[in-house]
Amino acid sequence: MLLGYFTEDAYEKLIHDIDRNEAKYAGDDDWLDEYFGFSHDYFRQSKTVDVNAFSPHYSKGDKDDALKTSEDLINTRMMYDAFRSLTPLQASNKYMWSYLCHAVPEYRNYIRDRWMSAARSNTIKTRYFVTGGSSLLNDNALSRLWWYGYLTYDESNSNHYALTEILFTNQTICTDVMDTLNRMNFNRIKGVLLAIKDFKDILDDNEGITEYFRECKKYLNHYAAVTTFDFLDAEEIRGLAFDYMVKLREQKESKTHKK
Amino acid sequence: MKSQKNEFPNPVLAAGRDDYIAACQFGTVFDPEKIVVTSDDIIIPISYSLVCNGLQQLIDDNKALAVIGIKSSSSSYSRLFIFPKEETAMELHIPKFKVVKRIELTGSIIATAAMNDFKCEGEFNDLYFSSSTFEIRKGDVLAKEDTRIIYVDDTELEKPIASIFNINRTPSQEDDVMPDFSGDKIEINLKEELYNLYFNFKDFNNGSLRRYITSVIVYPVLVEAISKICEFYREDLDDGSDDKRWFRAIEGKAQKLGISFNTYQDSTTLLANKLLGDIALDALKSFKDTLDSEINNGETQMLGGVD
Repeated sequence: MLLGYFTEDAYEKLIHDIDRNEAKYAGDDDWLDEYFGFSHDYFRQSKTVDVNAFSPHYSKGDKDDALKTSEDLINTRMMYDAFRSLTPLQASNKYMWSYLCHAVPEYRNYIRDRWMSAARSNTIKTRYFVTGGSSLLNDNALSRLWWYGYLTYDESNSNHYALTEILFTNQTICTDVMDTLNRMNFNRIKGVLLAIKDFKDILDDNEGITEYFRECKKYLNHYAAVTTFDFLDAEEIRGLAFDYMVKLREQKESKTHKK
Repeated sequence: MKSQKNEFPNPVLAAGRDDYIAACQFGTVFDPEKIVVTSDDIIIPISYSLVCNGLQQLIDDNKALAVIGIKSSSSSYSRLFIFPKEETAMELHIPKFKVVKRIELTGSIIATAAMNDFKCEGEFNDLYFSSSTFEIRKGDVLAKEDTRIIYVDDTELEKPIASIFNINRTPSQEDDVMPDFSGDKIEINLKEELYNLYFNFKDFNNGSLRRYITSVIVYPVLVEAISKICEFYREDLDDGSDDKRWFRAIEGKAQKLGISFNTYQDSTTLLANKLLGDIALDALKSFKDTLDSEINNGETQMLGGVD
């Protein structure tokens, strides 16, 4: 299918009118044409960007975090498989993602089911629109799936989504891993994700990983301030991250024993 | 962009640091005029110069490399380009569909492997390091330069100047109008009543009053923005505002009028009026035309005169 995108004016008008259109976002009806006066000049159809169809997979109604995470993984794989012909330049286009979230009924239904039942004051803005870099990667209902796929797709592994599976360990890890410094470098994101998997394997069932990983992230950021991480391979970064988390755990255990 | 003053655990040869004696220098050079954009790549010819016997020896011994780091954070692109050992020049081929908005370019010398006794005999600043040696890890930075920014998509700068403004409804603010210059676009925040009037007038009669309301809302903010740019150059500020899209758009439009902010001494009101296409006269003319047509269409009855 060929992709469409909002004009800048249409995007600005919609984002200004979020409060006024709140009921429309909550409903089933197609409302864009009427809202824009049936003029059809509020969007453009790309003549060149051709992608395969993607239908979001989700179970309707309330979901716990674990179910959301597993559905995110499935949708990331399907979305990235379908939209893989997009270049990062095209996939950074806020008008395109915002248009898809508004104009395609099955995407609207998916967003409404996933986020609108417990909507906050900024839910419409964050999930239907792309407003900036972080919103592109973490918030918009569709663009986040593409970028998760793009940043973790591993050509060298027969399971191209092996890293994506680790990324979706849980929602917190997913957000923490996707911070600016990690995502800038494929070797870094790969090394970090493999270290998370290794470290999770040695943790007890009732031990959380988030606390260790957050400290590890700080350590890696300090390390990267004086060292060129782009020169290190994924295995080297994996070793740095894993060893640091193991050391933290040992320190924690030794403090516990002393008490 | 100024260099980040990182606390390196070893001496680093860089402008603004005095870890080395003054005779030692490192830097890269490229000519923006020689950047070529092909169907797939942005090609940047670049060279480096290094004046430091100790670091040069490390390169000759394969213990260090001269590299260029290219980053485009909007698309999470990051790649290291390595100068061939015997050469001080190369071409960077950057895939243009993988970078967005801008690329950051930083030259550096990095260690290829761990070293236990890194030193540059007679070239470290004696005051701090004397004859000390340092432990170095693979990839550690030994020399670096300030990051430079290349804007790869300035098509938005070609749009009308009005495109650098966002008009927002912000019911919570106390004042009717509050501009915010901190982002890429200038946010003009309006209190509820003013915002509603603005939007109603904007679309009134197929936009016939659009120029008039631009003169009321946008024009004074543009004057303020120009004043900020003048101040930036006059005071030689280093607040990063020259990196913002609104700053570059105004500067670019002014350059097309032959105006350089380095030397601009005239009125900011005058320049804002020019950049908005003689908005002052145009706004009042469009207001008069709209008023005339409203009066002449027979639906409006004159009940009294004006002062």
